[in-house]
Amino acid sequence: MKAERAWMAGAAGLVLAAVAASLHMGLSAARHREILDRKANDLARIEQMANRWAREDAYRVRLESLGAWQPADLDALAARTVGAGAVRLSPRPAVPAADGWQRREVAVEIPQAAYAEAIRFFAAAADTLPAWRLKEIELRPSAEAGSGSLTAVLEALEKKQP
Amino acid sequence: MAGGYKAAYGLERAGGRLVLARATRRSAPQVLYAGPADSEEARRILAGAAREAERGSAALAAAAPAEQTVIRRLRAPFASVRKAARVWASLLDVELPFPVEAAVCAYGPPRLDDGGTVAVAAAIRQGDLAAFQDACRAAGVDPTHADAEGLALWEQLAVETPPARAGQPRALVWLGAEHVLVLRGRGTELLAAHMLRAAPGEKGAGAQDAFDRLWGARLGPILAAHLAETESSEMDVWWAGIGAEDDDLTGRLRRLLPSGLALRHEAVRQPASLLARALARRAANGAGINFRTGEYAHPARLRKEARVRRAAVAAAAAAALAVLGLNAGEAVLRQRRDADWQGRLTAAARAIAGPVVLHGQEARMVENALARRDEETQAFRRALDPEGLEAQLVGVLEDAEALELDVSRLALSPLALAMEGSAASIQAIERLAERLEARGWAVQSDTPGRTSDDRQRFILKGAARHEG
Repeated sequence: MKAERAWMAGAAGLVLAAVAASLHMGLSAARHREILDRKANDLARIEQMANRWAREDAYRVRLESLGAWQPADLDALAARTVGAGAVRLSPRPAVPAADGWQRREVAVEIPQAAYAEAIRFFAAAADTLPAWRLKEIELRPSAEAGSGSLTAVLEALEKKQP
Repeated sequence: MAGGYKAAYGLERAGGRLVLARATRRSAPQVLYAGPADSEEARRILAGAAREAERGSAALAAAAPAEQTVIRRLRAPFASVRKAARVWASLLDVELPFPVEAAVCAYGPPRLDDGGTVAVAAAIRQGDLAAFQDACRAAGVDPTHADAEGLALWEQLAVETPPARAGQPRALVWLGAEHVLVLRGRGTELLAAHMLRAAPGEKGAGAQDAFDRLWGARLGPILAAHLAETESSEMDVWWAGIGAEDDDLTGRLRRLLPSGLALRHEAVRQPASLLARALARRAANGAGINFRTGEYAHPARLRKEARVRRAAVAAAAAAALAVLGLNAGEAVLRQRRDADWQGRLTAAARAIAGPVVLHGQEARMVENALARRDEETQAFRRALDPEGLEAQLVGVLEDAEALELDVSRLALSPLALAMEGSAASIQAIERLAERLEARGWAVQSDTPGRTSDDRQRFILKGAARHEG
């Protein structure tokens, strides 16, 4: 009789455990789905962002494949477009950018020039690889139309080679 | 009687005769033997049934002595089976010629009836039951079930010959070897049982006369009272028992009934074995009552019930283990699904945010890494910009020239524009502002007076509406 009671108690315990386990599974199913849904949504968002810099990466790869590590000599460009000695260039310290590249800035000062020549200088600088791009500019026209002084900052990418 | 048997035997032993029937849950009872109790065949068949009963593979049901069994119809004044169950014993106690505490009692299925609950009860003194068991063992038989004869007969009549109408009054006259039992009811409902303690088939003129007087004195009033109680003008009377096979006897007894009573007489099929068939069927399907409970319970039945309990416990345990197994499997599946998603999420996050990605922080860390990388790749984007500040500069200078503006200062960066100068008219300044707006600048203009040559001064400040 004792043994039978012990077996019944054991079976009752198993049944209770089964009921509790089933209840737990049932009640936690929604939470589990929520967690999986959240992870799936996070993954979808992250995967969407994965190609965020595809253009920038392609540009970098192009520069590296062409061995275009250093930007063009601005002095020579300035001499060709604005005239020798017409442009004062002040390089600034490089700042790290992405993937081992760094950003170079040069302060440009043109005390007096025709704006058309200055624009030619900037266009020529932008046409190199890696390109010098105009980051900021300030013009103070002179009495002569279409000319004056200007200060600007040009920016280009550069990668130091070992 | 809770629980049935796959097979059951019904045994009637009276007047030197043995009737043995066998029934299963699915088949109608079959008579295996009806004949002298002391024949070799009877002993062999009975021994076989007793062996099966001992093994627990079949029930062996006999009827408790009818002379010592009291059958009463009880009515509780509650329309609640649960409440009525609490008072059956008290109600039966009033009806019994002995204390209910000294009896073994059994109650049939209760039924709600017109604001109350009714049930048929049977009771036998404990001493009488013990004596019955001893007598059975002495005769070489130990039945597992002791049913109530009257209840068994009445139910078997209803099963084999259902009433044509639900409330049809009917009676069953059981002409047994040693007594007569008269059961009366309405439809399938038993209302009362009456015992004649005399053997109808006893030979001898004196015995016959005595029986006839007893019959005449009792039966007429019983049947007349039944008609009155059921408010009927006619009723069916079914004849069964060993005496029902004696046409002379049944004819004589019918003639002794009051002629004014409108009675339709019928004989049940195989009348002599009705009780044995009833006992077998009730024991097989578990529908009957069994006085052999508690301390009077048959060991074989107790063993069978213990086996059934153990099997039920084992089945419950097995089912619970199966459910636990399923739940464990589901838990493992969930864990794997979670790990799979987590793995993909971590890998995707690491591709952007680097090797150290905290669990649960993947999206936030990726967003932080994006912000940093956006900053680091700014120069690449500017390098790729097809127009850039160069085009903006050219455009602004062209607009100024087209509108004949004198520009005294122009400062331009990807985010901000500042312009000072003078114009021939305010309209020209407004047109300049419109053109700058078209180039993506949110412009605020100011016109602080005029120059010495009467041109309108202007100061324009612009903020880029999108990053350069």
